Amino acid sequence: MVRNLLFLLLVMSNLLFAQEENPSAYKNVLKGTATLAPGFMLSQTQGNIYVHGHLEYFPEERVSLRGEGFWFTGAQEKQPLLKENSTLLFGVLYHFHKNTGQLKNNLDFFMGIQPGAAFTRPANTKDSTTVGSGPSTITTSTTSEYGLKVLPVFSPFTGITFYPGKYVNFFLELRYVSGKYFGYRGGTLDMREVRLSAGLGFQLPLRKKA
Amino acid sequence: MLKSVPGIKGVLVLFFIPFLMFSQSPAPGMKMKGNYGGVLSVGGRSVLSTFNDGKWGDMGQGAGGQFMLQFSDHVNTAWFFDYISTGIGNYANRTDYHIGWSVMYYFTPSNAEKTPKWQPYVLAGHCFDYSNLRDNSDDRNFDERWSSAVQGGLGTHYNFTSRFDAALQGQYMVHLGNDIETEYENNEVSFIQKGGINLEGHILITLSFNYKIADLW
Repeated sequence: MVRNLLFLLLVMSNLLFAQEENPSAYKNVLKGTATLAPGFMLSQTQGNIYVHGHLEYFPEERVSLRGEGFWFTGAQEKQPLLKENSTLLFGVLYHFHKNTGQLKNNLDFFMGIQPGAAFTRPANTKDSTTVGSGPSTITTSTTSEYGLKVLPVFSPFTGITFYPGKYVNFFLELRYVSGKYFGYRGGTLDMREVRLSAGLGFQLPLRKKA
Repeated sequence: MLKSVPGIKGVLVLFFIPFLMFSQSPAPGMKMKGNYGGVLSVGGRSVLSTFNDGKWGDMGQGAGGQFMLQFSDHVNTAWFFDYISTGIGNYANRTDYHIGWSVMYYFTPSNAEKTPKWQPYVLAGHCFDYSNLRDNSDDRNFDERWSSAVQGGLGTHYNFTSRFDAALQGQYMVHLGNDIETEYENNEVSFIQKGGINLEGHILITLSFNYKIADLW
């Protein structure tokens, strides 16, 4: 099996080497999108919903820089865990595509890493305390409110883009976002989440092909 | 143990395919004015902070940015900002801001003719930092300090193209100045400032990406 894979790998390497002969299709392309993105928290039964937008620029054929925003709009649960969890990220992507010299009908697989910040505020929590027993039982309930905090986050991601035309694309991507909110119920709220984004994007070549 | 996982070899080979692809795709280089002195790059970084005050655990996570200004084929400098958030047990937390610089010496010099794929380096530097320690149960219970630190360590760039690289580095950061200790007794958190020079610090592991934007001289 390993021999077969090594053979495949050699063939792929040669193909890629040949592909670089074509003029760059991606260089100086500006891309953007806005879509809905569900997020699934890994330590909670909680599904978050975001409006996800990004702006991406290709300074090179295989490298792009991308700024990203996730606007927290709510959760799928009736009693959401979070009031706010909007996120800003900035990072770099590496692209694996066959360089045909044009974007049309091109399929691009990409991977990236982005550091960033999440603006997080958990929803209020209510705790009840019971003192005494029998008819003299007294129950008091306390509501805790939490402040908005800026959390440093790290987000590796991967995905695929298909370009049916010169100006439009369809994409699908999956990302992991890690972070922690300290001070939730006197402890820590694990904010690790997987977010899925898919939809229609647009691109614009800013300069003529190199 | 890995050998017992079915198909692991294939997965490993597939994992390394992208790295071979990178070597096949030289990017159009930047216009160079001689050697690498004057090359300016910008990037972002994610950091992990651990071994705080000589104890493993309570790993902090942070994000930040940096720019690098190279002075020769062998010597580069990094100017960085980090924002790090760390738990202290399950009862308190700390937020650290670093702003500083490091000098890096490359064992494999930068080369405009043929970009080396790996560029290991040794680094040393200095930073200013602000720390804020806070009780998880009571936001009004906190302490803070300003201090300065020196750091040293090892790292390596992986040059994906002649202009874009990722770098992984580990460094030990020794803070000079007051130290704040956290005590937790009977569900009460207290912060105690200790004077004098404390040579205990923490390990900072950084994963960064950098893009060369100009050759200034």
